[in-house]
Amino acid sequence: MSRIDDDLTRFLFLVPYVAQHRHGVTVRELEDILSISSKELAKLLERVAMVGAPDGGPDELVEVYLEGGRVHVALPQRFTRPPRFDVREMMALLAALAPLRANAPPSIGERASKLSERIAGLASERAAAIGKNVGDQVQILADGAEDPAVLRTLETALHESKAIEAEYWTAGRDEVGARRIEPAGLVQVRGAWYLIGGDAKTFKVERFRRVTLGEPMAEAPDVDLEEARRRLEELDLGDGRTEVRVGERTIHWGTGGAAGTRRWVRTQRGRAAITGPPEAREAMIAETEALLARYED
Amino acid sequence: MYHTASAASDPSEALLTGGRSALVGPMKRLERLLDLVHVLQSSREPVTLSALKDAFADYRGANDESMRRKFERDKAELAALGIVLQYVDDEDRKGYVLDTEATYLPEIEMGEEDRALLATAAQAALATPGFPHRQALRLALAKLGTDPADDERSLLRVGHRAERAGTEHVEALSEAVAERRRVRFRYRRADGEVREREVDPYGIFLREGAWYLTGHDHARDAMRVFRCSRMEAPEVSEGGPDFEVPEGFSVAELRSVSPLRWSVHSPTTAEVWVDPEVAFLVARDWGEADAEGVFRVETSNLDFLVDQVLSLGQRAELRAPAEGRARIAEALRAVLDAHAGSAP
Repeated sequence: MSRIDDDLTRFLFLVPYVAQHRHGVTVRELEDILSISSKELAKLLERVAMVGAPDGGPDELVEVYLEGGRVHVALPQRFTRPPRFDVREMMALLAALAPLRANAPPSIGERASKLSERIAGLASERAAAIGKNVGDQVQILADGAEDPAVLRTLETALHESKAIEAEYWTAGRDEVGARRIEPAGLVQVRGAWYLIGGDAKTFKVERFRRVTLGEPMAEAPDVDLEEARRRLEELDLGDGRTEVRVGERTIHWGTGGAAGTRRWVRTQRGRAAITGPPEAREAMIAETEALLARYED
Repeated sequence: MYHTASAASDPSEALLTGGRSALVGPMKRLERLLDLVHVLQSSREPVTLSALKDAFADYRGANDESMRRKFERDKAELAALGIVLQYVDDEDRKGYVLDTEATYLPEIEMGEEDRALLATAAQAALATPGFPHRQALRLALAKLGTDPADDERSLLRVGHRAERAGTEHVEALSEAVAERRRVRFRYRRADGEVREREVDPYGIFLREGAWYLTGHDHARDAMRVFRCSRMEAPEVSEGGPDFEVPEGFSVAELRSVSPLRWSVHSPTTAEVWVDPEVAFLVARDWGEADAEGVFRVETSNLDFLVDQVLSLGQRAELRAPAEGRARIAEALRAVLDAHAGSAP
């Protein structure tokens, strides 16, 4: 977009947005929403104050003022609603919702689909004219590796505050076993769904071999889902004794998931290495040598 | 020159008013466009071109034909931003109006759960390295009155951590997708081969932490998927649009297509033995195993299959093709090399 397009877009957003807030909007919030510096915002506000009928009187101009670090629009003229979504706004909104539309627990998927349809109906004529694919061209794709029936059961368990009885493959020990889990929430990281248990343990949904609803829970688990998401994103799992070097970074990975750590390192094809403790490193080397022996024809 | 009308000593407190005389070039055009919007949406009646010519100094100086051309350029520029000017040709009313329904968002009512879901999705997108149109997303959320922090009460969280490599290309490539402009880049395949590619980009997507571009590869005259981290120096053509996206094309369809089926090379059939105890982990993607526990997997993306087999470790063995076995051996040697010598 050109500079003029950017300024036009910002103006057409700013005036109705600020006018809707009776107590004004902070300079900081506007800088954040518009992705501009204080200096650029000041220039924009000066331009806003000049918009009106050419050769019209001062009462025909948009009236904007700054007070106590807040921007106010006293006279928006007829700029009372922001423009419909342009192509980029549509793309961004629909791309953000994409991983929740499909391969998601049913009620989330349905809600995300309906919301996406509503948003698509708010496109500008040009955005709509560019094609029905506009919201589909930038995507964050979910894995889709999960069994939909398992996702449905987990969602029901969460809604009805019931425990689940499950057979689960624990990658960290490379074994399948039976478990009772009190579900606290669902987290999607890198396109894969995880169930967070009441004890803050994480379970990758595709690793459930079987799930059935159990007894109602005495009380809903109180787990910090945001912290769980962060740990999954950062691969910050386990007790942190195993040290893994990835490029310049060092991750402290839990020995509780030794097989899982080795599995992950193996798929990095030499871009990661276990640097300690020595027994974890030796186990990695021994396992890799054993595997390699199968492939040296 | 601009000036502040109130002589406030605190620069953060000022009534801002405008003066117009010193505007030149682009700023003058910006002012004209905004004033044009203002005039057309404020008028109760359609505004004729001659009335616009009288009202706007920029139009006044030109003859009718060049004034019309200038106005048409302004109209097109506004249309590109979604502002729709229409000509009304009724018996007693002729002239231009601003179509407010087509231009402006209607009142939007969103329930708490919709708002929380959108906030969760947006927060994850904004935190994703390379997520394109970040600025547009912030603006769109504000238009919907949604704050990314509105997800407090949800039992759902989303994160899409992505590899850093290649993310610097994503914004430009997504612009190319939006504007339908051809792109050229040098592409390094997984086997190390580097080739110049010319692609009509139909879509761009993030999957399992990596960004990919998909579109028509001119050299192969076929659809291909390219990992952004393996691109060098992508160049987007000037102008455009250069191509039409085929009817029915959908990036979202790739969600239901396993990466095993992405067109990276000619299709081949691989044979993989998997320990029956964990066969359920791959059965959704690979189908049924035979009585010996061997899956026959059709793939045009052997590298992805190699990753899947590597992740299963001792629980799986790729038996064919030989090329796949060689790639696994190579990957395992790389792992051993990374662990060679004394630990740091």
